[in-house]
Amino acid sequence: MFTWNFRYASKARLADTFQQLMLDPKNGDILIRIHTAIHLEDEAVELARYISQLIPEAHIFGTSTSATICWGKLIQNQCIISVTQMSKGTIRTAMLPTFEENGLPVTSDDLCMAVRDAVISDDTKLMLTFLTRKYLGVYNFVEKSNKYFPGVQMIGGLANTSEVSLKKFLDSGFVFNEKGWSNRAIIVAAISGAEVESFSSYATGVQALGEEREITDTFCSCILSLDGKDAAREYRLGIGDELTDRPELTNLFPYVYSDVSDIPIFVRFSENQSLNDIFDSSEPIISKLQKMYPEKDYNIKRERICANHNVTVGKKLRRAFIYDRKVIADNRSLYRRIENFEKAETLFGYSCIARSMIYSNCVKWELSAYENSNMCGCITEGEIAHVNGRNTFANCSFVVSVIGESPATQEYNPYAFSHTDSLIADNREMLNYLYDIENKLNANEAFSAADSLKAFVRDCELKMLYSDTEELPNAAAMSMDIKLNGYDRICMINVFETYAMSSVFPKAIIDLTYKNYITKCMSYAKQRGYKVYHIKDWNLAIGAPSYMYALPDFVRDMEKLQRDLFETSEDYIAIVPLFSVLDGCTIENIEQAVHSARLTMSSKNMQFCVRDASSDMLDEESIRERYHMVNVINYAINHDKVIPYFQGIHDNKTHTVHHYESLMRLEDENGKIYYPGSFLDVARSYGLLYDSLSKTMITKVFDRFKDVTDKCVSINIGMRDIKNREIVDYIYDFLTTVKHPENFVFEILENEDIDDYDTLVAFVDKIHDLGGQISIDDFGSGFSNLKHIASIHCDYLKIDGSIVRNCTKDEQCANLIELIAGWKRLSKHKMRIIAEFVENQEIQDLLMEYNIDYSQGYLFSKPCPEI
Amino acid sequence: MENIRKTEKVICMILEDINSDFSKELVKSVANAISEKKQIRLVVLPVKYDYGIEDNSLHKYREIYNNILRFSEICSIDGLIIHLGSVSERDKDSHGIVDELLERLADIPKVLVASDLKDAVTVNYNNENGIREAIEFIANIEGLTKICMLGGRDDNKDARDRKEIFIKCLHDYRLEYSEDQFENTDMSEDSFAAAERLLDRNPNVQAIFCINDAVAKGLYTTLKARGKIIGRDIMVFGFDNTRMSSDLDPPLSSVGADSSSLGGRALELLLSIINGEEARSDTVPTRLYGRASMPYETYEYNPIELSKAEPAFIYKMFNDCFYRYKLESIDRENVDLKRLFFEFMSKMLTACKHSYMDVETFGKLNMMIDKFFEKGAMRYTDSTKLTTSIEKIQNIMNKNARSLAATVFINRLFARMKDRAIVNQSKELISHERKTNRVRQQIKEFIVSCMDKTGCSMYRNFDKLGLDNALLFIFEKPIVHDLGEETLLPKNILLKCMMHMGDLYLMPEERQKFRVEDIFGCNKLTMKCNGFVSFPVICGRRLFGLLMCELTDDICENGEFIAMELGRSLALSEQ
Repeated sequence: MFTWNFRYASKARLADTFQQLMLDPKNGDILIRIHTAIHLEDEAVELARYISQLIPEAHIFGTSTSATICWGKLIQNQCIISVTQMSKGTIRTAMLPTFEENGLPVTSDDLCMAVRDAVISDDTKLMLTFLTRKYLGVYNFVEKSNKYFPGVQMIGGLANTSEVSLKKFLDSGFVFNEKGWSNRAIIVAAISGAEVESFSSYATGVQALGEEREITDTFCSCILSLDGKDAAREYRLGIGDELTDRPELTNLFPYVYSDVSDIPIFVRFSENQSLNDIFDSSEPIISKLQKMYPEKDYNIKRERICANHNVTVGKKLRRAFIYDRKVIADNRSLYRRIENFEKAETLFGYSCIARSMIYSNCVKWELSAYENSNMCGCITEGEIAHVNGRNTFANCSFVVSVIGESPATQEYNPYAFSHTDSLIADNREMLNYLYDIENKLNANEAFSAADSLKAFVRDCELKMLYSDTEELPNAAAMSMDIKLNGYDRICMINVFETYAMSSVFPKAIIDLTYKNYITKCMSYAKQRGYKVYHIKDWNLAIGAPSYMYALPDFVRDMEKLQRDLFETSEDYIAIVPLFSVLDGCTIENIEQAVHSARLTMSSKNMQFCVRDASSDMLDEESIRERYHMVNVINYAINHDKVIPYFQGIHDNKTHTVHHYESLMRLEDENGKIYYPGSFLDVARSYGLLYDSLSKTMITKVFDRFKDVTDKCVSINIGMRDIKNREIVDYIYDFLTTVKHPENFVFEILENEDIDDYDTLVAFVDKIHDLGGQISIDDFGSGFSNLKHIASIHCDYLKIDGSIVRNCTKDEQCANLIELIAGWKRLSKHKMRIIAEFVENQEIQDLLMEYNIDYSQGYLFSKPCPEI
Repeated sequence: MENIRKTEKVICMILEDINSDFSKELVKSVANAISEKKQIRLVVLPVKYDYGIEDNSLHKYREIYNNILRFSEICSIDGLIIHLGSVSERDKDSHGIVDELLERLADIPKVLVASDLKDAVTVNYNNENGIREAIEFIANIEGLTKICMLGGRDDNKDARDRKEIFIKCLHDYRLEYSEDQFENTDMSEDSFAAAERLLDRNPNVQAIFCINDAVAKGLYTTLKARGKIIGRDIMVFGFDNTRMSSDLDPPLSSVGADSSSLGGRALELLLSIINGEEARSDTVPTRLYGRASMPYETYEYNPIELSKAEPAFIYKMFNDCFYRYKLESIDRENVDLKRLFFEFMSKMLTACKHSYMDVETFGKLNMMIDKFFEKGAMRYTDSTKLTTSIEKIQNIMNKNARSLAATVFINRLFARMKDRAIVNQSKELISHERKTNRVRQQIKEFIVSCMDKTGCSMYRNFDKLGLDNALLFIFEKPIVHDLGEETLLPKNILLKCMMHMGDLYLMPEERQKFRVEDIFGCNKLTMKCNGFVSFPVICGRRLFGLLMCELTDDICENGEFIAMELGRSLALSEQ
C-alpha cells in the first residue's frame, strides 16, 4: 500500500503530480479521496471528472468539509487530495441514495443492505463512510451496521461546509464522485484484502457525570422529555439561565448515551421554536410522522433541544462535559494504540467541527502527535467511530484509523504530550463558565436552579480542579481561588534537579521521598488552615487569603515548613525545596511574579524569598516615560541627533588639556538635550537601540579625530560593545588605517557586569597591538575584582566620581584615593590616574597632594559640543 | 559616614502630653495614615505643657524636658505636625515658647492640629455636627430637657467652641440654659471636684456633655459614687471618641471623627505642602458614636436588607459594629478584618436565606470567626456594642428563619462571636495590666543591673528595658541647663547602643559618632517601624541625650518613665 497527500492547486499541477506518482492501475486498486472546503457542488464534480479522465480506473471518494487535515496538520480553506494505491487488496466505492424517490428516508436496515451489497466482501476490513446531515437515521444506521457486516470497522462522519457555524447548523454538506453530487446520499469506500489489517479508535475528552435519565418522548431528532419532564427546561436549569443568551454553551455540556459513556452527543438549544419551525413539514418523512403522531402540538413555540440524529425513546442519557486532562488522557491512550500498530501504512483522521471551534487549540494539539505522518482527513459534523469493537455514531470526537498490508511505521511526534500548555487556554472557556456560575450562586440569582446546578458545578469542579496524580487541587483551582476567594498570598514550592536525582537513585526511593514531601506539605498546610495546590510534578503551591492570614505569620509558617522539609531522615533523599512567597497575587500578575522570583532566587542562590507580586508591574507613568525615551532615541538615530560632547582632561603637571573624553548626548525635536543617565538604561533593555547608538557615537568621534594629530580623545565602550563583532571589527579596521592610533583611548566601564574576562583581555590586547590605549572607567564604583583589573594592562585608571566628589568631606574616600595612588607607585606598569568630578579647588588640592596625574571636572571645563 | 536615605522624608510631630488619650489617638492616626509605600519616617517629640509658674520643681522639670524641642530645630526634618493646644490664647500669659518655636521652624512646612493660630495651616474638628447630632437625639428621641456640660479651660479654643455650640444647640431645641448648667475643668481625668459642683447645682440633671473623654472618666467616678446608673438615670457623652471611651464601664458615647481622622488629614495637608501645592486649613467632620452611656444607634438594621445579603449591607454592618476600623489603615502586616468579616457574614446570611448550611461550612466559619477575633477585631469596638448589634441581627434572622437546622448552626455561630468578643476584650485588658506591671519589673531589674560600676554596664543592660527597637544617643558631656536660658546642643552625639528587632547592639567607639542633625534620618532606624518617639534623657538639670523608641501602643505611656530611669542611672554611674 502506498499513500500520498497533496493540496489541490490547479488542474495542470494535478496532472503533473499524478504523473510523478506514476500511478498505474495494473499495480493495484487506487483510491482517490477528495476533501474540499473550497469547491461548490458542481465544481467538485468537475474536479472528480477531471481526475477520472487522468486515471480512469481510480475510485473516487469526495466530500465537502469545513477544514481539512493533511499530513497531520489542520489546514483551512483548501482542497486536499489523498491517493492510496493498494498492493494486493481491493477498493470498492459506492455512492448510494439515502432517500427514496418519494422523498422518504431509506430505512437503516435497507441502507445497511444496500451498502453491504455494493461494497462489502468477506475480507473487508475498513469502510470510509460519509453521509449528510439531511439523513437523520444515521445513528441507527451505524448501530445496525454492526449486525449486517460485523467485523468491518467504519470511520467517517457527516460532511459539512465552511459556512457552518456553531450557532447555525446548515444542511449544506454534500458527497460527490465523478458521476455527480448529492446531499441526500451516502458515499462509502471499502478497503478489503486478506493481508489488509486495520485499527480504529477515537479520543473525546468527555467526562460523564450524574444520574441516568431516560428519554421518554421524542420527535425525530428533538428530545421532548426526559424521565417524563420537559427535556429542554431540564437542560437549561442544569446549565443556568445564561444558556438563552449564550447558546454556544451547549458545546461545553453534551449528553452521552449511558451505554457508551465516553462518546458525546450534542444537543442544540433553541429558545422559542415550534416543531414546525425546526422541521420542514414539506419533507415527506415529516408529514408522514406528523400524521402518525397527531397528538403532538406542532405549533407551540417553546424552548427545545435537538440532536443531530433521530433519537429513540428508551435510550438513557447522562450529562457530561469536556475538559483538558481527560482530553490528554484519551489522546494518550489513542496514540499509544496507534503507535503500536505494525502495519501503519496509511492513517485516516477525522475530527469534529464543534471540537475545532471551541477547542481549537485542542484539535491542533492532538493532531500534532501525528504531524509528518501521512494522516489525511477532514473536519466533520458528527463522526462514525469504532468503539470497543463496535461502530458507533458520535459527536465531538477525534477518530483515527490506521491501515496497511505490510509492516510499516509512520513518523510520529510523541513530544506533543509533554507540551500541553495550549490546552489550558481551551479550558478557560469552561473555567470562565464555572467562575460565572460560582459567582451567581453566591449572589443567589439562580436560586430556583441552585440545587441541581450546584451539584453539577461541584462535579465539574471536582474533575477539573483536582490534580490527576495527587489528591490535591490543581493550578486551575488556584486560579479560581485567586480570582473568586481572595487567595492573594501564594507560596510556590519547587524542587529542582529532580532529574539528577533519578540518574543516581532507584525509583522506589525517589517515589518515597516524593510522597513524604507531598504529605509533609499537605499535613502542615492543613494544620494551619492553608490550601495546597499541586501544580506539576514536584511543584506545589500553598495559598492563603490576606484577609485571614497576616503576611508575617504566613512567612513564618512557610519558613518553618521549609525547615521541616530540610530535616529529612536517612530513609529519604535530601531535597532542597525553594520557597517563594508572593503577596498581592492576581491572575494577571502571578505568572510574572513567579518568574521573576525564580530568576532572583537562582541568581542570588536563595532558597526563600518574599515578594510583592504587584511591585513587578511598572506603573503607568514609568511605562509612558520609557516609550517616550524609545521615541527620543529612535528620533536621534534617524535624524543625526546623536551628538558627541567633549570634556577636557587636565594635566596636573603641565596644566594643559591632555586629552578629551567624548560623552554622548541626544537631542529631540524640540532641541532638548538628554544625558546618558536618562536614556542608556532604556537603550540597553532594547539591545539593538544601544548598538546603533554606540555605533553612531563611535563613528562620529572617529570622524572628528581621524585627521587630528595633536589631540587625544577617549571613547566609552561597554562590555556589550566588546562582544559586538560589528563594532569591534569597525574599531580594529579604523585603528589599522588611522595615522595616529595612539590618539584614541577606549574607556571600559568597570561597573558594568563584566562576565567574560577572556573576551575583554583579548580586546585590550588587540587594541594595544594596534597602537590604541585603554582606560578603566569608574574605578572603585563596582565591587572591583582587583586581580582582574591588575591583569588588564590599562594605560589610564579613572577613579569613580563619587569617591572624588566626597574626598574632602569623607576621610574614607580620601584614603581610597591615596590607596590607588600608592598602588600606581608600587606597580612597575606605567599607568596614569585620572580623577573625575573635580568640582572645586579644595578637591584639586587634595588630588595634587596625592600626585594624581589628571583631573577632569567643572573646575576646569564643562562638556561641550566643540573642543 | 553614615549614609542617609535620600528618598525618605522625615516628618516630625511635636505634641504635648503624649500620655493623654487625645495625643495617643492623634499619634496613632498619623502613623496609620502613613502607608509603607510613601517612604515617610515619623518622629514624635513629646513636650510638656508648662503652666509657667505654679509649681517650681515641676516647672523646672518641664522646662528641661522641653529641651527636646531643640532637636527639632537642629535636625533635618521635611515637615512638622504640631499639636500644642490653643497656642495664641495661652501665650498671652506664659513666656511664649510656642511663638519662639514657630519662628525658628519657620522654613519647615508645617500643619497644626487643634490649634487657634491664625496664619498657620491648621486641622480642627468640626465640632458642630457631632454635638448637634447628640443634642438632637437627647432632645427629640429621648425627650430630655435638663442637659449640663462639663467644659474645659477657657484658654482652649476647642473648649470655648464646644461650649458655644452646646449653648446654641440647646437654644435651637428650645431647651433652657443658664450658666449654672456649666462647669469648667482642666480637661483631664481630675474632674471630680467640678463634677461634684455641677451635680450639686443640678440635682435633676438628665444628660451631661463632657468636653472630652478624659473628663467623662472623672464624671463616671463621681456618678458611681452617688449611686447613679449611667445610661439609665443619666446619659453621658464625651468628645474625641478615644479608645479609652470604649473601655469604660459602661462604654461611653462620644463624638469623634467621621470619615477621616485628624492625624490623617493633617498628614495629607502636610504632604501637599511639602510637594509645593497650596494647602488650606481644614476641619474634620464629626459624628456621634453611640454606646451604652447613651443608647444611640448609628445604624438601624432592617429585615429586608438582611435577607438580601448584599455586600454593601455587610460592609455597612461591619462599619457599624467595628466603628474604629475605617479610620485605620490596613497594612500588609495585618489581615483585612473587613474582608474576613464579609466572608463569614455573607456565608451566614446566605445560609439563612437558603435555609441550609452544611457541617463543613459550619466548621470553616467557626475557624474564620476565631481568626477574626484572634487578629484583634475587638480593638475596633467594645463588647457591649458588638453583642447588642449581633443580638439585633440574630433576632431578625430568627424571625425570618425557615429551617431549623440552618438556624441552629447560625445561632451557634453568633453565640461564638459574642463569646469570642467578650473573652478577647477581657484578655486584652488583663494583658495590658500585666504588661504595665512587667515594664515596672523590668526597669527595676535594669536599675539593679546598672549598679554594677564597671562603666558601660548601663548600655550592656539596655535590652532589659523591654524595647524591641530603640536607639540611645548620649552626648559626650551632659548638657547642664540653666533655667530661663536657652540650651545649645553640641554638633555631635554618640549612639551608644541600640535594640534592633529585639537584639542588643553595642556600638564600637569609632562608629558611635553622629552629627545631631542626622539622627532622625539615620538608617539605623528600621523602616519596619511605624514611627519613633523620642524622649529626652534627663536628670536634675542635666540633659544626657535622647532615647528614640519604636512607636508602639505602650510607649506613649511608658516611654517618659523609661527615659527618666535611664537619666537617673546615668547620673548615678557618673558619681
